[in-house]
Amino acid sequence: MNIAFKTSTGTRPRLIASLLIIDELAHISYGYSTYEYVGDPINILNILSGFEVDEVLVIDLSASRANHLNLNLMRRLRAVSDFPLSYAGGIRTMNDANAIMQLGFDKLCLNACNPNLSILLLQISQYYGAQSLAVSVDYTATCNKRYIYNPYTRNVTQLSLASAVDALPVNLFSDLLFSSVPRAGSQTGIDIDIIYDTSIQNLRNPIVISSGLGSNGRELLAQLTELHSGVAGLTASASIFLQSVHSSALVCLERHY
Amino acid sequence: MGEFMARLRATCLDQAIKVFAGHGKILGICLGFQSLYSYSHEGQCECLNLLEGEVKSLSDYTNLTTNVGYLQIIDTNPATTSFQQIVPAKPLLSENISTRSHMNNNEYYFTHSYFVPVVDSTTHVVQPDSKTLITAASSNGDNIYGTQFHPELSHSIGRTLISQFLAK
Repeated sequence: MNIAFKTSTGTRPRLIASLLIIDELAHISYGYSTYEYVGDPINILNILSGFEVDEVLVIDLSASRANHLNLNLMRRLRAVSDFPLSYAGGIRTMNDANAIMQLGFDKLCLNACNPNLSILLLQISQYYGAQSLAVSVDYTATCNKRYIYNPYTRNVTQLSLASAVDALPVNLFSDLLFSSVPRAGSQTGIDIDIIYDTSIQNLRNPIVISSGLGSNGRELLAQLTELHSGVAGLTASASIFLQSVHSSALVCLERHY
Repeated sequence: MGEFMARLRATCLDQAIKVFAGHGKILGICLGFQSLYSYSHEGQCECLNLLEGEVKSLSDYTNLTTNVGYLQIIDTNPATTSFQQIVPAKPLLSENISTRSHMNNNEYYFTHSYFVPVVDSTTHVVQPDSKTLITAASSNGDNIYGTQFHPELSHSIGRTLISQFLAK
Protein backbone atom coordinates (compact mmCIF):
# COMPACT_ATOMS: atom_id res chain seq x y z
CA MET A 1 0.00 0.00 0.00
CA ASN A 2 1.46 3.34 -1.05
CA ILE A 3 0.95 5.79 1.75
CA ALA A 4 3.51 8.41 0.75
CA PHE A 5 1.17 9.80 -1.86
CA LYS A 6 1.74 13.43 -1.17
CA THR A 7 4.87 15.47 -0.56
CA SER A 8 5.03 16.48 3.04
CA THR A 9 4.96 20.20 3.64
CA GLY A 10 6.86 21.94 6.38
CA THR A 11 3.73 22.78 8.29
CA ARG A 12 3.01 20.74 11.36
CA PRO A 13 -0.42 19.09 11.19
CA ARG A 14 -2.94 21.01 13.27
CA LEU A 15 -5.27 19.76 15.92
CA ILE A 16 -8.40 21.82 15.39
CA ALA A 17 -10.98 22.14 18.15
CA SER A 18 -14.48 22.06 16.68
CA LEU A 19 -16.97 24.15 18.66
CA LEU A 20 -20.59 23.47 17.74
CA ILE A 21 -23.02 26.19 18.83
CA ILE A 22 -26.77 25.79 19.19
CA ASP A 23 -28.79 28.65 20.67
CA GLU A 24 -25.58 30.37 21.78
CA LEU A 25 -24.43 27.35 23.80
CA ALA A 26 -21.65 24.87 23.01
CA HIS A 27 -22.76 21.32 22.18
CA ILE A 28 -21.40 17.98 21.09
CA SER A 29 -22.99 16.28 18.11
CA TYR A 30 -23.63 12.55 18.08
CA GLY A 31 -24.02 11.41 14.51
CA TYR A 32 -25.53 14.76 13.51
CA SER A 33 -28.78 13.66 15.16
CA THR A 34 -28.56 14.23 18.91
CA TYR A 35 -26.74 16.96 20.74
CA GLU A 36 -25.37 17.39 24.24
CA TYR A 37 -24.72 20.68 25.98
CA VAL A 38 -21.09 21.09 27.05
CA GLY A 39 -20.74 24.68 28.22
CA ASP A 40 -20.50 28.36 27.52
CA PRO A 41 -18.63 28.98 24.25
CA ILE A 42 -16.84 32.10 25.46
CA ASN A 43 -15.58 30.35 28.55
CA ILE A 44 -14.46 27.41 26.42
CA LEU A 45 -12.53 29.66 24.04
CA ASN A 46 -10.84 31.33 27.01
CA ILE A 47 -9.72 27.93 28.23
CA LEU A 48 -8.59 26.86 24.77
CA SER A 49 -6.55 30.05 24.49
CA GLY A 50 -4.75 29.14 27.69
CA PHE A 51 -3.87 25.81 26.17
CA GLU A 52 -2.49 27.52 23.05
CA VAL A 53 -4.83 25.55 20.80
CA ASP A 54 -3.72 25.30 17.17
CA GLU A 55 -7.00 26.49 15.69
CA VAL A 56 -10.73 26.54 16.45
CA LEU A 57 -13.61 25.97 14.05
CA VAL A 58 -16.84 27.58 15.28
CA ILE A 59 -19.92 25.94 13.76
CA ASP A 60 -23.12 27.88 14.42
CA LEU A 61 -25.85 25.37 13.71
CA SER A 62 -28.57 27.81 14.74
CA ALA A 63 -27.38 30.30 12.14
CA SER A 64 -27.51 27.61 9.51
CA ARG A 65 -31.02 26.55 10.44
CA ALA A 66 -32.48 30.02 11.02
CA ASN A 67 -30.78 31.67 8.05
CA HIS A 68 -29.59 34.42 10.37
CA LEU A 69 -26.00 35.09 11.50
CA ASN A 70 -25.43 35.71 15.19
CA LEU A 71 -22.89 38.50 14.73
CA ASN A 72 -23.08 39.64 18.34
CA LEU A 73 -21.98 36.26 19.68
CA MET A 74 -19.33 35.88 16.98
CA ARG A 75 -17.90 39.28 17.86
CA ARG A 76 -17.58 38.20 21.50
CA LEU A 77 -15.97 34.90 20.50
CA ARG A 78 -13.41 36.63 18.31
CA ALA A 79 -12.58 39.05 21.11
CA VAL A 80 -11.37 36.28 23.44
CA SER A 81 -9.45 34.32 20.78
CA ASP A 82 -5.75 34.85 20.10
CA PHE A 83 -5.56 31.89 17.77
CA PRO A 84 -6.77 31.17 14.22
CA LEU A 85 -10.56 31.12 14.23
CA SER A 86 -12.69 29.66 11.44
CA TYR A 87 -16.45 30.00 11.03
CA ALA A 88 -19.12 27.75 9.56
CA GLY A 89 -22.89 28.12 9.51
CA GLY A 90 -25.43 30.09 7.51
CA ILE A 91 -23.11 31.63 4.93
CA ARG A 92 -25.32 32.09 1.89
CA THR A 93 -24.18 35.34 0.32
CA MET A 94 -21.08 37.48 -0.05
CA ASN A 95 -22.64 39.90 2.44
CA ASP A 96 -22.75 37.08 5.00
CA ALA A 97 -19.10 36.32 4.30
CA ASN A 98 -18.13 39.98 4.66
CA ALA A 99 -20.01 40.27 7.95
CA ILE A 100 -18.07 37.38 9.51
CA MET A 101 -14.67 38.27 8.05
CA GLN A 102 -15.03 41.88 9.18
CA LEU A 103 -15.35 40.62 12.75
CA GLY A 104 -11.81 39.28 12.40
CA PHE A 105 -12.44 35.63 11.62
CA ASP A 106 -9.57 34.12 9.67
CA LYS A 107 -11.37 31.57 7.56
CA LEU A 108 -14.83 30.62 6.37
CA CYS A 109 -15.86 27.01 6.02
CA LEU A 110 -18.55 26.20 3.45
CA ASN A 111 -20.28 22.87 3.11
CA ALA A 112 -19.94 21.08 -0.22
CA CYS A 113 -23.76 20.94 -0.39
CA ASN A 114 -24.17 24.68 0.07
CA PRO A 115 -26.54 25.65 -2.78
CA ASN A 116 -24.47 28.77 -3.52
CA LEU A 117 -21.09 27.06 -3.20
CA SER A 118 -19.67 27.82 -6.64
CA ILE A 119 -20.42 31.52 -6.65
CA LEU A 120 -19.42 31.94 -3.00
CA LEU A 121 -16.08 30.22 -3.51
CA LEU A 122 -15.38 32.42 -6.51
CA GLN A 123 -16.39 35.68 -4.85
CA ILE A 124 -14.78 35.03 -1.47
CA SER A 125 -11.51 33.69 -2.87
CA GLN A 126 -11.19 36.65 -5.22
CA TYR A 127 -11.70 39.11 -2.39
CA TYR A 128 -10.07 37.42 0.62
CA GLY A 129 -7.83 34.82 -1.03
CA ALA A 130 -8.05 31.04 -1.18
CA GLN A 131 -6.34 30.71 2.20
CA SER A 132 -9.45 32.25 3.79
CA LEU A 133 -11.71 29.45 2.63
CA ALA A 134 -12.27 25.83 3.60
CA VAL A 135 -14.78 23.33 2.29
CA SER A 136 -16.29 20.59 4.42
CA VAL A 137 -17.59 17.34 2.97
CA ASP A 138 -19.95 15.28 5.14
CA TYR A 139 -20.29 11.63 4.23
CA THR A 140 -21.41 8.22 5.35
CA ALA A 141 -20.01 4.88 4.29
CA THR A 142 -22.02 1.97 2.94
CA CYS A 143 -20.46 -1.27 1.71
CA ASN A 144 -17.01 0.34 1.66
CA LYS A 145 -18.29 3.21 -0.51
CA ARG A 146 -18.59 6.75 0.75
CA TYR A 147 -21.66 8.84 -0.08
CA ILE A 148 -22.29 12.51 0.53
CA TYR A 149 -24.55 13.52 3.39
CA ASN A 150 -26.50 16.73 2.76
CA PRO A 151 -26.84 18.62 6.07
CA TYR A 152 -29.43 20.97 4.58
CA THR A 153 -31.87 18.18 3.76
CA ARG A 154 -30.44 15.85 6.43
CA ASN A 155 -30.32 13.01 3.93
CA VAL A 156 -27.66 10.76 2.50
CA THR A 157 -27.42 11.45 -1.22
CA GLN A 158 -26.59 9.11 -4.09
CA LEU A 159 -23.52 11.23 -4.84
CA SER A 160 -20.25 9.44 -4.19
CA LEU A 161 -17.44 11.15 -2.32
CA ALA A 162 -15.21 10.86 -5.38
CA SER A 163 -17.76 12.61 -7.60
CA ALA A 164 -18.28 15.37 -5.07
CA VAL A 165 -14.55 16.00 -4.73
CA ASP A 166 -14.06 15.94 -8.50
CA ALA A 167 -16.66 18.68 -8.85
CA LEU A 168 -14.97 21.03 -6.39
CA PRO A 169 -12.94 23.99 -7.74
CA VAL A 170 -9.98 23.04 -5.56
CA ASN A 171 -7.84 26.08 -6.46
CA LEU A 172 -10.38 28.42 -4.88
CA PHE A 173 -10.00 27.23 -1.30
CA SER A 174 -7.48 25.86 1.15
CA ASP A 175 -8.47 23.23 3.72
CA LEU A 176 -10.71 20.35 2.70
CA LEU A 177 -12.46 18.80 5.71
CA PHE A 178 -13.87 15.31 5.55
CA SER A 179 -16.45 14.55 8.24
CA SER A 180 -17.80 11.07 8.80
CA VAL A 181 -21.36 11.56 10.03
CA PRO A 182 -21.73 8.28 11.95
CA ARG A 183 -18.44 8.83 13.75
CA ALA A 184 -19.35 12.31 15.02
CA GLY A 185 -19.06 12.33 18.80
CA SER A 186 -18.29 8.63 18.95
CA GLN A 187 -14.58 8.85 19.89
CA THR A 188 -14.24 5.44 18.20
CA GLY A 189 -11.45 6.54 15.88
CA ILE A 190 -11.19 8.61 12.72
CA ASP A 191 -11.82 7.26 9.24
CA ILE A 192 -8.11 7.05 8.47
CA ASP A 193 -8.74 4.97 5.35
CA ILE A 194 -10.03 8.05 3.61
CA ILE A 195 -6.44 9.16 2.94
CA TYR A 196 -6.13 6.15 0.64
CA ASP A 197 -9.18 7.20 -1.35
CA THR A 198 -7.97 7.80 -4.88
CA SER A 199 -10.26 10.81 -5.24
CA ILE A 200 -8.21 12.84 -2.78
CA GLN A 201 -4.72 11.46 -3.32
CA ASN A 202 -3.75 13.99 -5.96
CA LEU A 203 -5.23 17.04 -4.27
CA ARG A 204 -2.85 19.83 -3.29
CA ASN A 205 -5.24 21.13 -0.62
CA PRO A 206 -4.51 20.56 3.06
CA ILE A 207 -6.65 17.58 4.10
CA VAL A 208 -8.35 17.70 7.49
CA ILE A 209 -10.06 14.62 8.89
CA SER A 210 -13.00 15.23 11.18
CA SER A 211 -15.19 13.12 13.47
CA GLY A 212 -14.40 10.13 15.62
CA LEU A 213 -11.14 11.28 17.14
CA GLY A 214 -10.42 9.68 20.48
CA SER A 215 -7.98 10.84 23.10
CA ASN A 216 -4.89 10.10 21.04
CA GLY A 217 -5.05 13.10 18.71
CA ARG A 218 -1.51 14.36 19.15
CA GLU A 219 0.03 10.89 18.91
CA LEU A 220 -2.04 10.19 15.81
CA LEU A 221 -0.90 13.41 14.20
CA ALA A 222 2.72 12.50 14.89
CA GLN A 223 2.21 9.14 13.23
CA LEU A 224 0.51 10.69 10.23
CA THR A 225 3.36 13.16 9.87
CA GLU A 226 5.93 10.39 10.01
CA LEU A 227 4.07 8.52 7.30
CA HIS A 228 3.93 11.63 5.06
CA SER A 229 0.23 10.92 4.84
CA GLY A 230 -0.63 14.37 3.55
CA VAL A 231 -3.04 14.94 6.42
CA ALA A 232 -2.79 18.58 7.45
CA GLY A 233 -5.00 18.39 10.49
CA LEU A 234 -7.58 16.62 12.61
CA THR A 235 -10.58 18.16 14.27
CA ALA A 236 -11.55 17.22 17.78
CA SER A 237 -14.75 17.89 19.65
CA ALA A 238 -16.11 15.19 21.94
CA SER A 239 -12.62 14.04 22.90
CA ILE A 240 -11.79 17.57 24.07
CA PHE A 241 -15.03 18.53 25.76
CA LEU A 242 -15.98 15.25 27.40
CA GLN A 243 -13.93 13.17 29.77
CA SER A 244 -15.64 10.06 28.48
CA VAL A 245 -18.50 9.34 26.13
CA HIS A 246 -21.81 10.68 27.53
CA SER A 247 -20.03 12.05 30.61
CA SER A 248 -20.60 15.48 32.10
CA ALA A 249 -19.27 18.57 30.38
CA LEU A 250 -15.58 19.16 30.77
CA VAL A 251 -12.88 20.82 28.75
CA CYS A 252 -10.20 18.19 28.84
CA LEU A 253 -7.19 19.13 26.77
CA GLU A 254 -4.41 17.52 28.74
CA ARG A 255 -4.63 14.38 26.68
CA HIS A 256 -4.08 16.35 23.48
CA TYR A 257 -1.79 19.13 24.56
CA MET B 1 -3.78 42.75 -2.93
CA GLY B 2 -5.19 44.74 -5.83
CA GLU B 3 -8.32 45.62 -3.88
CA PHE B 4 -6.27 46.43 -0.78
CA MET B 5 -3.90 48.79 -2.60
CA ALA B 6 -6.79 50.43 -4.42
CA ARG B 7 -8.45 51.18 -1.09
CA LEU B 8 -5.20 52.53 0.37
CA ARG B 9 -4.84 54.88 -2.58
CA ALA B 10 -8.49 55.92 -2.58
CA THR B 11 -8.16 57.00 1.04
CA CYS B 12 -4.62 58.42 0.63
CA LEU B 13 -3.44 55.99 3.32
CA ASP B 14 -0.62 54.88 1.02
CA GLN B 15 0.87 58.39 1.19
CA ALA B 16 0.28 58.58 4.93
CA ILE B 17 2.15 55.29 5.45
CA LYS B 18 5.06 56.45 3.30
CA VAL B 19 5.31 59.71 5.24
CA PHE B 20 5.14 57.85 8.53
CA ALA B 21 7.83 55.44 7.32
CA GLY B 22 10.22 58.38 7.24
CA HIS B 23 10.35 58.53 11.01
CA GLY B 24 8.09 55.92 12.64
CA LYS B 25 8.25 52.17 13.17
CA ILE B 26 6.07 49.99 10.96
CA LEU B 27 5.25 46.32 11.38
CA GLY B 28 3.40 44.83 8.41
CA ILE B 29 1.63 41.51 8.95
CA CYS B 30 0.67 39.04 6.20
CA LEU B 31 -0.97 41.13 3.46
CA GLY B 32 0.38 44.22 5.22
CA PHE B 33 3.85 42.70 5.01
CA GLN B 34 3.44 41.92 1.32
CA SER B 35 2.23 45.47 0.66
CA LEU B 36 5.60 46.81 1.85
CA TYR B 37 7.24 45.44 -1.31
CA SER B 38 7.47 46.97 -4.77
CA TYR B 39 5.02 44.89 -6.73
CA SER B 40 2.49 42.10 -6.26
CA HIS B 41 1.45 39.55 -8.84
CA GLU B 42 -1.79 39.18 -6.88
CA GLY B 43 -3.88 41.78 -8.63
CA GLN B 44 -0.86 42.88 -10.72
CA CYS B 45 -0.35 46.08 -8.78
CA GLU B 46 2.34 48.44 -7.54
CA CYS B 47 2.71 48.36 -3.77
CA LEU B 48 4.24 50.68 -1.17
CA ASN B 49 7.86 50.07 -2.26
CA LEU B 50 9.30 50.34 1.26
CA LEU B 51 11.15 47.04 0.75
CA GLU B 52 12.64 45.71 -2.48
CA GLY B 53 11.12 42.60 -3.99
CA GLU B 54 8.00 41.17 -5.55
CA VAL B 55 5.10 39.15 -4.21
CA LYS B 56 4.49 35.98 -6.21
CA SER B 57 2.03 33.10 -6.31
CA LEU B 58 2.87 30.03 -4.24
CA SER B 59 1.36 27.75 -6.85
CA ASP B 60 3.83 29.01 -9.48
CA TYR B 61 6.87 28.08 -7.37
CA THR B 62 5.81 25.27 -5.04
CA ASN B 63 3.49 22.29 -5.01
CA LEU B 64 1.16 24.27 -2.76
CA THR B 65 -1.78 26.49 -3.59
CA THR B 66 -1.90 27.80 -0.04
CA ASN B 67 0.40 27.58 2.96
CA VAL B 68 -1.70 27.18 6.09
CA GLY B 69 -0.48 26.12 9.51
CA TYR B 70 2.36 26.40 11.96
CA LEU B 71 5.93 26.57 10.70
CA GLN B 72 9.23 26.90 12.48
CA ILE B 73 11.11 29.97 11.33
CA ILE B 74 14.82 29.85 10.61
CA ASP B 75 17.33 32.68 10.96
CA THR B 76 19.12 33.70 7.80
CA ASN B 77 21.60 36.32 8.94
CA PRO B 78 21.18 36.79 12.68
CA ALA B 79 24.43 38.69 13.17
CA THR B 80 23.40 41.66 11.10
CA THR B 81 19.67 41.91 11.23
CA SER B 82 17.81 44.30 13.43
CA PHE B 83 14.84 41.94 13.28
CA GLN B 84 16.75 39.62 15.54
CA GLN B 85 16.00 42.04 18.34
CA ILE B 86 12.27 41.42 18.20
CA VAL B 87 11.84 37.87 16.92
CA PRO B 88 12.33 35.54 19.89
CA ALA B 89 15.20 33.37 18.70
CA LYS B 90 14.79 30.70 21.33
CA PRO B 91 12.33 29.84 24.07
CA LEU B 92 12.14 32.58 26.66
CA LEU B 93 9.78 30.94 29.11
CA SER B 94 10.22 27.28 28.40
CA GLU B 95 10.42 26.28 32.04
CA ASN B 96 7.14 27.91 32.91
CA ILE B 97 4.85 27.10 30.05
CA SER B 98 3.10 23.99 28.91
CA THR B 99 4.77 21.35 26.81
CA ARG B 100 2.43 22.19 23.94
CA SER B 101 3.72 25.73 23.71
CA HIS B 102 4.34 27.07 20.25
CA MET B 103 7.15 29.11 21.76
CA ASN B 104 9.09 25.98 22.59
CA ASN B 105 9.12 25.13 18.91
CA ASN B 106 9.59 28.68 17.57
CA GLU B 107 6.40 28.16 15.57
CA TYR B 108 4.29 30.88 14.00
CA TYR B 109 0.96 30.65 12.22
CA PHE B 110 0.98 31.17 8.45
CA THR B 111 -1.97 31.45 6.11
CA HIS B 112 -1.31 32.78 2.62
CA SER B 113 -1.48 32.02 -1.10
CA TYR B 114 1.20 34.49 -2.24
CA PHE B 115 4.73 34.89 -0.91
CA VAL B 116 7.94 36.87 -1.15
CA PRO B 117 10.90 34.92 -2.53
CA VAL B 118 14.03 35.26 -0.41
CA VAL B 119 15.64 38.67 -1.06
CA ASP B 120 18.36 40.78 0.58
CA SER B 121 16.04 42.17 3.24
CA THR B 122 14.88 38.70 4.30
CA THR B 123 15.84 38.05 7.88
CA HIS B 124 13.96 34.82 8.57
CA VAL B 125 12.75 32.08 6.29
CA VAL B 126 10.46 29.07 6.41
CA GLN B 127 10.37 25.97 4.27
CA PRO B 128 6.78 25.15 3.33
CA ASP B 129 7.80 22.18 1.22
CA SER B 130 10.90 20.11 0.65
CA LYS B 131 12.31 22.39 -2.05
CA THR B 132 11.37 25.97 -1.35
CA LEU B 133 12.47 28.65 1.07
CA ILE B 134 10.18 31.63 1.44
CA THR B 135 10.47 34.87 3.35
CA ALA B 136 8.97 34.68 6.83
CA ALA B 137 10.17 38.09 8.05
CA SER B 138 12.00 41.09 6.65
CA SER B 139 13.38 44.42 7.69
CA ASN B 140 15.06 47.39 6.06
CA GLY B 141 17.56 47.26 8.91
CA ASP B 142 16.06 50.31 10.54
CA ASN B 143 12.37 50.95 11.16
CA ILE B 144 10.40 48.88 8.66
CA TYR B 145 9.48 45.35 9.70
CA GLY B 146 7.23 42.76 8.19
CA THR B 147 6.13 39.23 8.92
CA GLN B 148 4.41 36.85 6.54
CA PHE B 149 3.15 34.97 9.59
CA HIS B 150 0.56 36.19 12.07
CA PRO B 151 2.12 37.02 15.46
CA GLU B 152 -1.33 38.02 16.74
CA LEU B 153 -2.51 34.43 16.13
CA SER B 154 0.65 32.71 17.38
CA HIS B 155 -0.01 32.68 21.11
CA SER B 156 2.73 33.62 23.58
CA ILE B 157 5.56 33.69 21.07
CA GLY B 158 3.56 36.10 18.91
CA ARG B 159 2.70 38.32 21.85
CA THR B 160 6.40 38.40 22.76
CA LEU B 161 7.30 39.50 19.24
CA ILE B 162 4.73 42.30 19.30
CA SER B 163 5.84 43.39 22.77
CA GLN B 164 9.46 43.50 21.71
CA PHE B 165 8.56 45.43 18.57
CA LEU B 166 6.65 48.02 20.58
CA ALA B 167 9.44 48.30 23.13
CA LYS B 168 12.17 48.71 20.53
